[in-house]
Amino acid sequence: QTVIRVQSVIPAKADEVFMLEDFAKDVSDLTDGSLQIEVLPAGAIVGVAETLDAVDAGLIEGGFAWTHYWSGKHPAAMLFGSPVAGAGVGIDNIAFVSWFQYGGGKELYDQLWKEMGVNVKGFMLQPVGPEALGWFKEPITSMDDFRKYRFRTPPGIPGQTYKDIGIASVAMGGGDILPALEKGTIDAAEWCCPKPDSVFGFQKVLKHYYLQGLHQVVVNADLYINGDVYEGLSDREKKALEVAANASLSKSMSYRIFENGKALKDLTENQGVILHDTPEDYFKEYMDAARASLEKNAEENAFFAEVWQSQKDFAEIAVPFWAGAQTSNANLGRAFADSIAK
Amino acid sequence: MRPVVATIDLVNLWAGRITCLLLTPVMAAMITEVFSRSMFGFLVDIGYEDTARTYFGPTLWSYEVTRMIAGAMFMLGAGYALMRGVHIRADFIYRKWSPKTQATVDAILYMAFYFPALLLFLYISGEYTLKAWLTGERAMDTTFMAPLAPARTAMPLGILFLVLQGVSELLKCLYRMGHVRERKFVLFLPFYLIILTITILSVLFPSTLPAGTLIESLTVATGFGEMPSATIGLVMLAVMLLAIFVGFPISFTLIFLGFTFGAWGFSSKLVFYLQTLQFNSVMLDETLAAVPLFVFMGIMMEKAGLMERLFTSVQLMLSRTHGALYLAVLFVSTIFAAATGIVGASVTILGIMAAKTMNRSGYNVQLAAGTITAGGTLGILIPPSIMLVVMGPVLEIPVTDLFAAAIIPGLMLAFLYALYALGRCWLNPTLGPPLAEDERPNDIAYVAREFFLGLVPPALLVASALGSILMGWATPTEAAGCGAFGAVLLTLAYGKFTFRGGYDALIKTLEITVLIMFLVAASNFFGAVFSRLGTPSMLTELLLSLDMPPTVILIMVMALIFILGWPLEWVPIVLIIVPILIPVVAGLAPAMAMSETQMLTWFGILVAVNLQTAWLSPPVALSAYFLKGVVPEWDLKDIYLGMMQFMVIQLIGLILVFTFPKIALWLPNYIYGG
Ligand code: NA
Ligand code: NA
Repeated sequence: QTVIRVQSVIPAKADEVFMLEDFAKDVSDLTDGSLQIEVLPAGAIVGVAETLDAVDAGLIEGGFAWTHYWSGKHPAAMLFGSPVAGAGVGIDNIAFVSWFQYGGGKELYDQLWKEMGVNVKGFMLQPVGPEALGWFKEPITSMDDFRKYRFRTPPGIPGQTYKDIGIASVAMGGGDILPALEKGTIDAAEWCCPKPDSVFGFQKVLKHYYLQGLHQVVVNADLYINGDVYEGLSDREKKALEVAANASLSKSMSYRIFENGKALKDLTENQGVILHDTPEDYFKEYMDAARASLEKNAEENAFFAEVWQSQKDFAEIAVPFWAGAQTSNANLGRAFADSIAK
Repeated sequence: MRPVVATIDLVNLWAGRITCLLLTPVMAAMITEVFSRSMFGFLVDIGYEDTARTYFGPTLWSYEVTRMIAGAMFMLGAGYALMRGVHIRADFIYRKWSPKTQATVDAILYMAFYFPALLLFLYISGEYTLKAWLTGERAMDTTFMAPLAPARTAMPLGILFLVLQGVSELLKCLYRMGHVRERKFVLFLPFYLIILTITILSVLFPSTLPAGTLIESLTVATGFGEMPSATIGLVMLAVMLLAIFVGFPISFTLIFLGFTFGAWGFSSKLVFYLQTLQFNSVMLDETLAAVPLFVFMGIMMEKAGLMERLFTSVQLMLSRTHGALYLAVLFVSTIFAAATGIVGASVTILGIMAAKTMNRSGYNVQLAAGTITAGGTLGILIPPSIMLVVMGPVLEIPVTDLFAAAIIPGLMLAFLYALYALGRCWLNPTLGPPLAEDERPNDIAYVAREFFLGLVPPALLVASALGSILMGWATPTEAAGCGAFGAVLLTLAYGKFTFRGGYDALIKTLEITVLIMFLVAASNFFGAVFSRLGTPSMLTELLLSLDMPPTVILIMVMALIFILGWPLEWVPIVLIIVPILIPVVAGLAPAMAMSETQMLTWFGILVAVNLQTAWLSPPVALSAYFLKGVVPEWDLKDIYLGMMQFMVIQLIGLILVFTFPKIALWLPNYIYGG
């Protein structure tokens, strides 16, 4: 029996960890128990920022995070974990999985770890986007309104893009955000999506919630196993990991839609949260800035350019179909949502 | 050989002198951020949006710059601190020996543990840093994405300073042990160097050198290799309880133990990776950047004599009351607890500020030390508190709810401490003598004026630290920067500021910061080895496998946390033990007639109060060592005995919160509802 200890960077009760446990159970069942995945909470053995280094060194056998968590090690990690504004070409989380499984994404993903110089084998497990624009102390009707607020932004390129469009972007540790909002140190913040946001407690200090945002339309979490440990597994165990990973890609998405739906219902019906549509001018400004920053990164890094090109090639074929079909669906869905809101 | 000692000491003296200056950019960056961000908000509010956007606004770099420089400081100053002997020893046995024996034991420990451990740490952290330079790795916590290599370089560089200083300290030991022994050591030295080289190479390249397999086969042959790693963790704990009292500096003892038992339980090379990663994470911790700032604030105020005046004036006012200073210490510590979430900072500030007056007034050392350490640990319960910030996501309870729930228990404990200290003084007046007859003032107006004037400086300081949080200007870490800056302004206003005095405060700040941060990093590493061995999970699962009624389970859970808090710090307990217990505790909610959220909030506060005792339970009671660091004239034994009395008070507080959950749950329910 082989035990793979996986330290996550996400709190133990989060949905990501719940689905990771589900994946672990599938792997155990598929291997008749010969391969066990034991999930360790964030910070259990090393700090969250050191998780990948620890897996690379063999200190722990596995790690679990969002891929873009490692953008500091290689900028292209962002294109896998949270391609800003849908890679600037309108890829949503379902289209991302399509690119990953059939559009050449998986091969590039395997290459990513080599480019990073870490000895790991990665498995894309959980599409968990789209994330919300965020929480505001007062409603905003235009970008000019938005620019009045000190906004806690996500790290990396998605956050830099806010800075580029003139948002007063604030860097702040996770634990400081809620008290800072309460005391008015900052005026607005983003975190994730309805379920994690409501667990975090934003609704207790802010009431104006905007679902439509572009900074993390697509978000993916993945598992990586120390390369030597992976090589030591039997063929059946390797196959079990692959099959369970594919199952997880669909189960996680299904799970999150329902869970976020329940959370949003509770937020709006029981906790006085008011939903607003994001101002129109946000989309164009953010999209232009995101594309500019994608271009800049592509110029500076060959592998980044290669991955982005692959996503653009895929989008050229798939997005017109998918976005076109989705529009009718989205409009219908919004009409239904409005009808039950009244 | 004497020139070698002199040269090394000079190198580290200058390393310290230069490093301590780094606190100024940390302070400047924080003040800039707080000012610029608050001005932006203010100008927008009054309608000057364009001015706000053109000239002000949050900076992206302050967060990164402050945490990185503050982290680099404690590594770069480590060699200087070793030279100045600031690392605390639990020297109960050690001090009974003759200087010659002390020197011999030290020399042996330096050779057997210090050099192998630090040389390997130097190699692995050097490799880790080199990789950061080669790949241009960046931080991923913020939008700024600062390059990591420059700050990370402080790690191998600081260890190099430590290794050098180790050579100097070893040579000093050789001089002190007398000619006969010194000759033996010098004769053995060539053999030692060969053994050291082989050991290091066999750890780094286990496959190419036969020594590694030799050691491995030895452990297997003796049966030691067979022991399950969770059991090795238990042995490690047992050995630690003894090893600390050998009297080598505690932070290094923890490192040696982690290294030895980690090598036994998993792998010697990996254990140094673990150490490197743990030190890296302490270095980059943004909340810990508050430590040097709060320490600096305390030292500046003490040097300017501005805090002594407060304590003296309280004594004047309560001149007939026994133990008036205990009351003053607890009052100030409760206020400070609301300004900082870091125990090390509170305990050292209080020690620096109050100990002198208490000594002079003939106060009982044990009770004084107990009051200061217990009062200092309140900072981790009364918001803002790092521990609750870490616990929030673990329990999935909003941090603000936990903050609200902690306030009443925190004040209750402060009240219990005061009750205890005054009660003891009432029974035995010699514990806290009142002012002598002839020192007692007759003029009430004079007393009132002294009290008012004494109260002004600390009130202004608290206003700049705590006030900046409450006004929404600063985060808790930035508030430390505001407090430190406030202290500078205050000494300027009182005409007590000199560059010489400011510089002395900076270098003293560096010494205490290294003492605190090195202990934190070493005990985090020790805890990480313990977790990697799997002992905490094993103990917890063992407990949960027992079949018992809810209240009994809760009591057992609390007992387990209490016992683990004795050898461990709160970090591994919150991160490792608490998550395992959550399902069980949440399952008890119906039986206790609470919602799951209420149950977990209550549980979180119980754990917090319980873990506060971890700071007061020797031998791994870091606050004892922080206090010893700033009040060297107090015996560590007295500090231990003093804090253990307050451990009992703590236990009473815990029982109260356990019996009356409303103590924790009433306020969050009142503020936020349900
Ligand atoms: Na506090
Ligand atoms: Na302890």
